[in-house]
Amino acid sequence: MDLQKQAIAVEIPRLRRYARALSGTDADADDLVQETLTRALTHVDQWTNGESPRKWLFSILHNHYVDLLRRTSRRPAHVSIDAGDFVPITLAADAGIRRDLDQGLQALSDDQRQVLLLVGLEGMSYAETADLLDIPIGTVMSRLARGRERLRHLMACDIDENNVPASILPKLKRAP
Amino acid sequence: MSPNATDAPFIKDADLHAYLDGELAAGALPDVEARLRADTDARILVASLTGQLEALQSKFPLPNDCPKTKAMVDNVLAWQRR
Repeated sequence: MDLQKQAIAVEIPRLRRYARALSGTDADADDLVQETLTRALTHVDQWTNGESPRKWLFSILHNHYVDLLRRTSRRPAHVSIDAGDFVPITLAADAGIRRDLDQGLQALSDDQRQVLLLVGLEGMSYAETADLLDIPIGTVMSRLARGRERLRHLMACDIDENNVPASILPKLKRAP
Repeated sequence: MSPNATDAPFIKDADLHAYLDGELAAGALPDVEARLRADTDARILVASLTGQLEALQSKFPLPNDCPKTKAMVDNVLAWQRR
């Protein structure tokens, strides 16, 4: 049990980061993580020994988050990128980008935000993300593409094509 | 699509996302890199996505050392089955 508790404890920073980005507030994120940890510790027998608890813990967090959304109905199920219902945010500096990124993320649909954060922030593979969210890989890819496109519009990320190098290495393939 | 992309292999934007995410099948890599060299629009898309990822990871660093994280870790380690 001690080893299991240690393995769960190691994942707490990642759970807190994901919950913060997902929920948009520190208080909601901490409630989400606390409940996740309580459920995990109470049902630790459901965790298959020998596997990293990360996917299991993220699944618990995701399921609890979906339960909360259903209960409170505080977010719309989906917002089309073609709806024209958002105002682009003009950004001039990195600090502004980071600040307004929060607003952009919260303007995404829950489905898009979950996929974008799991792949882009947590470095999960498409297959891991599909498994965790219980959706097909094709759905992961389409939600990811739509979410990124919508975020690009929201943040009005203009790129100067004269400064784009001919060879762009995907230096952020995997989050640490 | 940029005019200079005429001779570049056509690659779906989904493949550019997969390239960025490390999910691209190895065999498709030369075609994607050829398009990136030849197609300004493709380079703009990948640069924009890269910027988005950098902003995400910069905005949300892992809270390894903050007091709340440490308190949660302590609580988990001290947890006893009831």
